Amino acid sequence: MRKLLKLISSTLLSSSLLANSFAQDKNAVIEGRVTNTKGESLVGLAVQLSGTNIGSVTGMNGKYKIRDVTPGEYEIVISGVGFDQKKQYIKLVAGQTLILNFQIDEGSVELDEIVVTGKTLEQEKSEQPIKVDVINTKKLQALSITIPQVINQTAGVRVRQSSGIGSETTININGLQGNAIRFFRDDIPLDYLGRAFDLSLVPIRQLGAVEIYKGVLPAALGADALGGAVNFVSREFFENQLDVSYSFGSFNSHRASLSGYWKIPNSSFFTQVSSYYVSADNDYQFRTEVIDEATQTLSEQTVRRFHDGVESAFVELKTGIRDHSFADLFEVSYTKFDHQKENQNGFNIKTPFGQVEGNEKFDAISARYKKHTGKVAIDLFGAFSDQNITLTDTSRRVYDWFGNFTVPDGASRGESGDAALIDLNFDLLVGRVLLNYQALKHLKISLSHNITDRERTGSNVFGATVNFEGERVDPLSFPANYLRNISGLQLESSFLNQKLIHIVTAKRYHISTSSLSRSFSIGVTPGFEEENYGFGSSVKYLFTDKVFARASYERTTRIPESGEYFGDGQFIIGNPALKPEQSDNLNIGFSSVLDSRSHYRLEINGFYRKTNDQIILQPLFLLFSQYQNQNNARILGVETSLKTTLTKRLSGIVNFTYQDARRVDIAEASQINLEKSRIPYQPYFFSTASLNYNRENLFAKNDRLQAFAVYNFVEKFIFDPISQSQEPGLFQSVDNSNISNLEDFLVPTQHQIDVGITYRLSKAPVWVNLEVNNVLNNEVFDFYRIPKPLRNYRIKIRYLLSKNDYKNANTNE
Amino acid sequence: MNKLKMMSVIALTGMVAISCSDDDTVPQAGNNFVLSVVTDAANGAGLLMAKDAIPDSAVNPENGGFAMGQLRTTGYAYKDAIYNDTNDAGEPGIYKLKLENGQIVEDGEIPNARISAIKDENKGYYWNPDLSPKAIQIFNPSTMQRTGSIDLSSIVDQYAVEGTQNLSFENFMAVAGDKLYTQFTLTNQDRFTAYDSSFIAVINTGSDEFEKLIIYPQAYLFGYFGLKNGRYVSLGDDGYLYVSTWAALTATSFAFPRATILRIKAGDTEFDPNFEIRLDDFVGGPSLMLGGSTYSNGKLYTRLKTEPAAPDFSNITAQEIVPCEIDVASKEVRLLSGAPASTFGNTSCFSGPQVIQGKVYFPVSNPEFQGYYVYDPVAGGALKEVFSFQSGIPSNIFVLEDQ
Repeated sequence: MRKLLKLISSTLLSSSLLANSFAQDKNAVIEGRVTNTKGESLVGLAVQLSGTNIGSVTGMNGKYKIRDVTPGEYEIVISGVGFDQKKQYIKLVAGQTLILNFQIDEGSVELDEIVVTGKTLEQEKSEQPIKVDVINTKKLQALSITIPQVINQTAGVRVRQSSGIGSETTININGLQGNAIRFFRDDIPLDYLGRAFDLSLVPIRQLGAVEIYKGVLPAALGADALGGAVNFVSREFFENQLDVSYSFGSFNSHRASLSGYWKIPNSSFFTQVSSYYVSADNDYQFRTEVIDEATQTLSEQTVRRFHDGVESAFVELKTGIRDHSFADLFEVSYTKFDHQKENQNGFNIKTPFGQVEGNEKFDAISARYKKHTGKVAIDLFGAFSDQNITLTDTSRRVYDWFGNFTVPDGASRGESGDAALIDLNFDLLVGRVLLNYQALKHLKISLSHNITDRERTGSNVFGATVNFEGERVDPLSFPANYLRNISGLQLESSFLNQKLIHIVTAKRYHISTSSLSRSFSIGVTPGFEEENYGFGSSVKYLFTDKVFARASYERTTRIPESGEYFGDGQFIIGNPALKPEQSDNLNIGFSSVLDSRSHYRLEINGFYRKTNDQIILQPLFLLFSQYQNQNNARILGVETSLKTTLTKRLSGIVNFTYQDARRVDIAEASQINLEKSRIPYQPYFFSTASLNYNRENLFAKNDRLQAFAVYNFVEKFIFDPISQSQEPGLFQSVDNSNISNLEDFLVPTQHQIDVGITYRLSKAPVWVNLEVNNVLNNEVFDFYRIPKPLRNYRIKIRYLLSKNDYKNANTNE
Repeated sequence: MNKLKMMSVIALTGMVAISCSDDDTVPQAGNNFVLSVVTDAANGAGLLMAKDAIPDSAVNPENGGFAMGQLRTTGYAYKDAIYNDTNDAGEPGIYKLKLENGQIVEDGEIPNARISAIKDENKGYYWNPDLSPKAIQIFNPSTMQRTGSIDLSSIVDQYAVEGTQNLSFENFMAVAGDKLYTQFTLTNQDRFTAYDSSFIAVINTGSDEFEKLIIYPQAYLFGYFGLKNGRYVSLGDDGYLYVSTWAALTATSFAFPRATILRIKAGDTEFDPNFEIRLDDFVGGPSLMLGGSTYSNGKLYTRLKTEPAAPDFSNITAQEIVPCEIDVASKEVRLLSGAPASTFGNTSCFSGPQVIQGKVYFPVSNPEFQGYYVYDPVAGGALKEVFSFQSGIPSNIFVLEDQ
């Protein structure tokens, strides 16, 4: 705690001094944000004082700032082609900072007559040289759709979930997954927030956007992501409001969310709350083989999951100041999270668990300071998180799929095989400094440094002890330390009147770590240090306002996790010789509007990944396992997306992804048939098609109807490796395969349709939503052959209390 | 991961599972052969490939077969069927496979069985801790149904006292004469042995009643973690069941190499007090057998690490595992020549030598060669290469009788 306070105070002090040194606020300042009627930030609009050459352009979040304005009366004009011009008279006094927000309508001129230069934030970000897909979740706030469902509508990305709500999820981005993908919240690595932002838990209402970086990361994201990153962007509030929602669905699932924002009148102080509660029984039915008690023969039957429940609660309180001379934003927050999850089954689905469960909770405090002054922008963040994770698997019971159990005489504890009563405590300190400097008109320099300091202690009452300096000790009781420093430098320059934008990044990765480990004999692996460097280059060229191409490359590194270096002190042997994974990531993309009315936009991206020294858990003899640098992988793929506005009310997206991920460079003669074999256990062809309908004033003035339908297709894929010559072809039957039971090793082809409808009442700030998932009632799988829920339903009610007319509660619809 | 954990528990709570299967005996003419090959060392997945003769040239797994999720350890052949120790998904159980028109097909499964042995076409035995840790289950190998159980709680309870946390029969299980022999272990919280002795229950296969508990005054890993293809137990034509150990156990350490061969006369209820071969004496230190001892015509065959194993296993992966012959009568140990040495690692074969049509087939596994060499005990001399796998790691040759 003392370390955190020291970090926060020193960074704030230094940043404040630095910021003030650049300050030039002699006269008045005008600043604010420009949005469209949907509340989306508008980027690139001109903000001008009439009759002067004083002005600015709205930035990434729709914000603008005009400095050093001589006191007096002015007419301020907001303009952009395709938008109605907005004017307002203002009077400025010396030293004043005038906050002026605008909401402007799209022009009434026909689309084919205009060139739209004003862009929403997600448009602007999506069109950066670095390939990132931005999902604007503001449009989805009233829906009960989940984050995985939303992300799966993005080309090149697939979220897989093992069973129901709260179950294990993994995200695959352009063929890389697992530890290759890092997660962030507001550009900060998520480590300090544990599972609170787990894809399967976090409600969409907590987020303003989800950014998916594909292979190449900007320097601001300080992490050793090998194959991409997911950045959760928090909702931003600009006016007082209280937003409450509750949804109820199949399998006794409940999701509640409460968010509020209150700004103290005539001051810069605000306070904010974000919270959610999730619970579900996940007791859905599925078909599986059931064991006859007497004969021990198997027969397929319909059973119901009975020990897969989840309950999670999250609350975050923030207070601070915004738009003040001291800081554009200074906030401190306290976050609390409590998560309990039952575990229904392991690898062997024939034998369910009935009492295995895990718990995670944490308390975290954090502080953030942002200041933009002159040519310098500073963003500082510090957080301390006290996390506790427990796993309980102590039962002697043996369950069947009907929930019945026996307690065999002499049964060992532990339904999953190893009895466990694990209690782990983590002290986590996270800090980040980001400095942006507009060195020249067309040159911006960014510097970032990210530090993560984690200490783990714990125990496993039922765990095996190991011999350490002549005594038997619980290996989990031995502190494990992990210190990671990642520094980044980024230069962004533009040429040819902004038609050509080039970004260069360089990163340094460093860790030092120590823990109790073991080789074949027990012992302590000494402290360990690793240092690596990465670099990248991204370029975008704008052919016309509607057509651009871009390419990006990054050589990046993933530093092994502590557990990969040191094992678990028991059956996973430490490997001090483990090397970081490295990857060369290349993206080449092209985006174009296809018609003069801008109703169709096509985007095609090709990607290449060459990953060396992939870290794989390998069996070591028959007893142990060890993380080893084993595979090299090569991924070649293409993703396409066609976005269309069919009518004023109907829009749609179709996307396809093909990713050919293969093992390469196999040196071991005994494995040579697996050269160029497909990386198992991940989809390689998938597609999504969605339709969205939106209509206002349907039954009454100011009401609104939204409806959507999403079709997901996933081609069958293998979950054990086979040689390339034995692979079934795309869309081909496996009947002619020379592996006679190949079908048993396939996750079958899957079709899933989800539909939903939302109605906003005319005279009350209330939304009602109904969704049906898996309408076709097909068996769908993500993890091996563990089925996901069949057809299921959700209903959601949302209430928004805002000081303005709720229709214009612009950030929330 | 779960498979690995499961295997670890198996290993630490018990030791070896060897059945006296027919592929260790000289088959009649008209046999069919099923090659078992691990194609992916990372997870142990592999292929079963049906052949009408033992190949004499390189075998390419790309030619197809029956896929299995785990083949590092395999089951055994009995008459015209394979009784594997996992199903094709890699889950534990007795998984029966047969040949139909040259194709391997499934013919029944008893889930969660951890070790088994067959007496005849209508009776076999297995252990399933989910049903009862203290009982041996009886099944019908023809119908693949459980038919009964043998309660051993009165025996086990004498030893399953405070401080013993895990009971396992997942050691070795073999039928010889009219007896079933099976070892059980009791381990402490650290997964090491709670006793300095080995316990072998002897059951009469006629009455299915417990007869005697053999207590050997040393805690041994009889075999190697349920590795039936290791063939650590074999029945000789001299009427003895030869039982080998891969390592000894202590209360704080689980695998101190100490290759030892004992024997029990079929139908007997004691180890032969006059027979014990300790290979430590031959290698000049802690010795390690990788498979075997496999009996044939008065000789035992094994794959032996030629240098003493370091107590911390630091030299365990050295390429110095070679075929070895032991004369049962004289106990003389002799290394056989002609085959390259094998390694011991995650891309290595853990199988033991096997006798097919009077000849001893040794798996050889090293970075340059994966396949089989054969030794002719009658002619003597050097081993000769039989066939190699173009890719993959050998794990067994199942010898099936014609239907």
